Amino acid sequence: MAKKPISKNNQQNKAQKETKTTPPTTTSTKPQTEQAPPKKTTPQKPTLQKPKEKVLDNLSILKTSPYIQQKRESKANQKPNSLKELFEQNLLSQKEERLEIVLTGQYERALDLMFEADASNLYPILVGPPGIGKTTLCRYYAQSRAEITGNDSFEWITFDESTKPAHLIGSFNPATTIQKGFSFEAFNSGPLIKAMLNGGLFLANEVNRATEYTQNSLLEPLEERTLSVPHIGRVKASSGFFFIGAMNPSELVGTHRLGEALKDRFNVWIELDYPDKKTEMKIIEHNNPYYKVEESILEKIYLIINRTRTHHQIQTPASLRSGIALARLTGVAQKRNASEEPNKILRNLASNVLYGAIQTKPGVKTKDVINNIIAQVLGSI
Amino acid sequence: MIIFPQSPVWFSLKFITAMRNHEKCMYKPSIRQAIAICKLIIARFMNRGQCEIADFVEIAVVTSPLENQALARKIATELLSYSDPTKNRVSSDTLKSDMFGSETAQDLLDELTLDLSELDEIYDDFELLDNFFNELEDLDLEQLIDESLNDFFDKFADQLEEDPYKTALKFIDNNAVANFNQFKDLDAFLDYARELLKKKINHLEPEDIDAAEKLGMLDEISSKTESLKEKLMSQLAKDQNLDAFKKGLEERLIENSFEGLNIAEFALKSNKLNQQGQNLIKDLLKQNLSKSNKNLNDIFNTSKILGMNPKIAQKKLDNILNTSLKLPFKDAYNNAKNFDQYFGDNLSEQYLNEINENFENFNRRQSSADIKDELINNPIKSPAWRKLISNIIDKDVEAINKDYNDDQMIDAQMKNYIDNLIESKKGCSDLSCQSQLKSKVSELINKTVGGAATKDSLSTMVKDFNKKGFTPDMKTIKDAGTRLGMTETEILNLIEKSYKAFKQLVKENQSTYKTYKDYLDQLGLTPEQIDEVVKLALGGAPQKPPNLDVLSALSEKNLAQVLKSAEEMGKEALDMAFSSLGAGSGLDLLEQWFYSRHNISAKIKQRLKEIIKQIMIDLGINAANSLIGTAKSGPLVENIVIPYTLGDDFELIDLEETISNLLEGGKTVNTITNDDFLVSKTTDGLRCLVLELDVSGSMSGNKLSQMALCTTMLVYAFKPEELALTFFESNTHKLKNLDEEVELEKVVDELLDITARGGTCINHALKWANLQFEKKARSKYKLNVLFTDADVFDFNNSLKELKIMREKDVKFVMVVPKFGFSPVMANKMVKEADGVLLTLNQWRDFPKLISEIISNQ
Repeated sequence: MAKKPISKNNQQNKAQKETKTTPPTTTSTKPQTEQAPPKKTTPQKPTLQKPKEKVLDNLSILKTSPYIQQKRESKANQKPNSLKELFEQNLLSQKEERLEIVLTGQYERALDLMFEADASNLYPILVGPPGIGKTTLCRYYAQSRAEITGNDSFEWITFDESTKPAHLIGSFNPATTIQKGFSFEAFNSGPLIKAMLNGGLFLANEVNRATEYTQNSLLEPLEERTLSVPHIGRVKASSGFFFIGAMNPSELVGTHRLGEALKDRFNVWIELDYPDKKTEMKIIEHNNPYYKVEESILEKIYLIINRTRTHHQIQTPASLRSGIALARLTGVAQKRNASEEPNKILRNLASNVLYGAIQTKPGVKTKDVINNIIAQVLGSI
Repeated sequence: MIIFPQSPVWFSLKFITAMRNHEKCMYKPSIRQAIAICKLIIARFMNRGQCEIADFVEIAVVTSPLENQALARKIATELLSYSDPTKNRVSSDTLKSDMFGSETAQDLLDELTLDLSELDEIYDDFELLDNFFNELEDLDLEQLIDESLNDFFDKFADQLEEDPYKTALKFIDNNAVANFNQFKDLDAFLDYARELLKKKINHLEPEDIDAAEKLGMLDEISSKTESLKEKLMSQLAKDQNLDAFKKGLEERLIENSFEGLNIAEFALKSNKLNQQGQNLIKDLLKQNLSKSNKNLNDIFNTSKILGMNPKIAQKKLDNILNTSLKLPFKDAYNNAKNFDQYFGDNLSEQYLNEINENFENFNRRQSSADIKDELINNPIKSPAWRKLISNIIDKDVEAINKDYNDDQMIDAQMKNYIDNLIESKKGCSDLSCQSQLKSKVSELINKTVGGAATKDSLSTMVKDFNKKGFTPDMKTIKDAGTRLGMTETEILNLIEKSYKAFKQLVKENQSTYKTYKDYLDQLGLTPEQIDEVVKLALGGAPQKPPNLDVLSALSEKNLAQVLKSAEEMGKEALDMAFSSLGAGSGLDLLEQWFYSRHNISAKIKQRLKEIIKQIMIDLGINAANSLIGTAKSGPLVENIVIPYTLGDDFELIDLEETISNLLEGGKTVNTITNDDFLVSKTTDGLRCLVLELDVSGSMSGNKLSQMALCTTMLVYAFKPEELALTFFESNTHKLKNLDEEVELEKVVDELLDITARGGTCINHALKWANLQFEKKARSKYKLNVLFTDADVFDFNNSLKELKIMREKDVKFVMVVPKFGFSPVMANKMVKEADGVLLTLNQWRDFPKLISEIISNQ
């Protein structure tokens, strides 16, 4: 059987190993019997990160991430949770999760107005670009309201083209109807009815994405505080029923105009815009609790995101979410490699975040605009 | 303790009345808003323990839809600013200190509730009165006046020469129509004048103060008016207490500079101030300017009222100029210029100097494109202007070199930038500034040409700049050409071209279409010269091959002459000329068609038209293939039957289909599930397109050809049943309705036969488009494309139709040629329709641009 040839590398390694294991020569007076051959000096090899170590880096980032719940090592005889158990465990409850938000500037003012509108039995609508915090503010308001009034009923629905009146009011299950007739048992109540009957809060999110037909189904609840349920009758809202709308400005893609009649029923129009620098930086910081970045980096992140809002070639700018995303990614990257220059990290990550976050005007290349912005804020390479 | 600065009910009613009557009010407020304002004011008071003027304004704003909010702020501020702070306040004299649980607090709330319920009736009365006054305008009042006036004058001629009757007569004459028959005596006459003046309280003119004095009504005005200026002036006219007036004015100037200036202006115009008084006010206004945070707008407004230059100390002026850096450039600059114009000063130059000194900071805050445009369109002959323009241009050039890594891209961007500058220069009204701009442009051109990245870009740039009247420096061209490895002949070709050399090239018949085209772009041949060249090109046949390349190039310059010369040579020559057509892109040929088809003989016109048509169709189809987001189905309604899902309308359940389904499945009542139910749904088509093409006189030549090509592209990109098309100039010429069947080739035929003539009346075309969308379009997405240069006659009427389009959720796109359109009108129309403005430099850009718009829908 032929001997397996030893590769050059292996030969070298073997030699290195041999030299390593050779005990160090000691100085002694014993006469030298043989002249040791002169040692070869091998050139210094660059220390390359072995692939095995890099995989560990990624793993360690995931392992230490607070966003990812690590599965505890289960004991041998412990059964894994069923889907039903997991569902019940994870069912959202207001009492469990108290929202903490940045309440300064326009958000403070908006919250005040919502309280005043609620006290006056008027219906507010929040209007602002995506990612500005409309839904978060409404959820915060719902929790605050629950603390004050003791009524934690809060229903909400996000509208789109396919939302039908039945999604709001509810509908009869045809199969049950055939067996039990048009009765309450056969009726699956929708979120609007639930909120009305409980005297709670109803949030109509992205209300101007609904078709006019669906929007019209909101007219009666807003005006008369009643709702007609086919085959059952007209129900009236309990005291305390409060309706909030939220929408993006109508010039954005995918939105409809609010019908005149519905528009007239919203009494308080709270316009939210991109917040001022201080507030936005606070919001980004607040939403990035685990991978903190320095104030100076945070400021640069803000400048990059804010520049998309004043750039003349950008049609749809980046939202607050992009700032949060960039801050988190930067924090993780810094954690991975603390010695890397922050500007370089930002430069690389900003392109990835902004590419899908902005929309340029017709004929303008997104990449060019992004590079332009990065160069303006971080300087040219 | 004062609780409310105004009665909430009074304020809300006044506010919505003012909003409804304002022409810029987008959505007329209903009574709901009035009620909402009152409720929110009370809630605000309950929340904060106070409700100030600013709260009233904020509440008026937030209860208005977004489109009305800017106007709401203005009206609310005016209503509250001109009111007497001591009037109509709700005070706590009748209330106990503890608002909660107090009886009198409940009384207040009950009273307000009663007022609210009466609002409806009061408001109806307002509307009735409004209608009544409208009808009154239609009466022939002149005749009535004449008759009664003569009788009255005959009776009281002597007394009417003296005050107060003289003043009363003048007042009535200036303000209202009176039936003099109603006045039995002079007292009745005076009472009538007094009633008129009383009704005018809160809206008095400056001269009415004098009338009030003569009619003995100063006290009444002072006590009843809510307007501070009227109050102060009437008190001054009565007691001549200048100090009190000065104090009132000073306070107002501090609180609200603009309102204070209004009061000052009112006082100065009223003629109730003696010289001392006038000087006092003028000094006060001048002193106001020396306070901090004043800017150029304050200087301008103050000087307008003073009617003179306030002559501010230089140190103070420097502060003002520095503060003005925060203002939008256009406003500050125009105010400074207007100031200079009135008073012969140099404020605008000082302002520009200030900007130059703080250029870096200023440039970061404001758009350099807007500043540049404003400076060029409104130049001032000064070194500061020259320096600023130069700074801005240098900064832009620096940005281009930074933003683009690729040299070719830099060349392209620089060329684009220079082209835009050259075009903007035409708008510069001052010759000296124009000339300075021209030299800056020449400097830029030489730099750009000198740094050209490739031979092609050098050649293109030299050619294009020459065409625009800017000849780059010969040495620069030579050096650049040598650097890029061009031969001496090539460099010489760039620098000078001659007709003699051209003819030689034609004779040799070795050059390409592109070489001839480049030559012709610079030479500009006369018809006689073209005739000579055609004969040279075709004259050698059949022994020598004809020079078809030069014919191609020539026909793109003067198609009519080429064909005419060829026709003169005989049928074979003409056939050869025809065979040479279409070597280039086709656009120039198409342009030639629109320019010169009337000069072509009828005999060959039809033949030519077929060739041009084919070129246009080919170009259109190729471009249409690159168009993304094309419609998947037309507007034809389709019925489909699908299983029921939770949320579907019960009424859509198709009973017959469901029963058949159940029977086929052999299901019993107890085993029926939701899936067994079938619903009928109608699906609509995805997208439809309506096109309006402006064929008015201003849309000739290149504009027409570009429009025709873009239209052809769209025609072949959409299904015929999804497309509607009309031309318009002074009249509208419908070509195809949405549901009509017409051959697309016929549409192309019509496009080729367009002649640009007449005015631009767009209203009917837009009305027709709206009808198409309303009555015939069943598609989910509706797209309206309007090709025009926006130089319309019926601009205001067209805005109404555009508003309707917006309300119907139609995506509106206005396509205009890059040069030669009315930007102000175009932008206003696009804004009204909430659409997109596409400026088209080359028609090749159109497919990509329109695709982006369609795919974003």
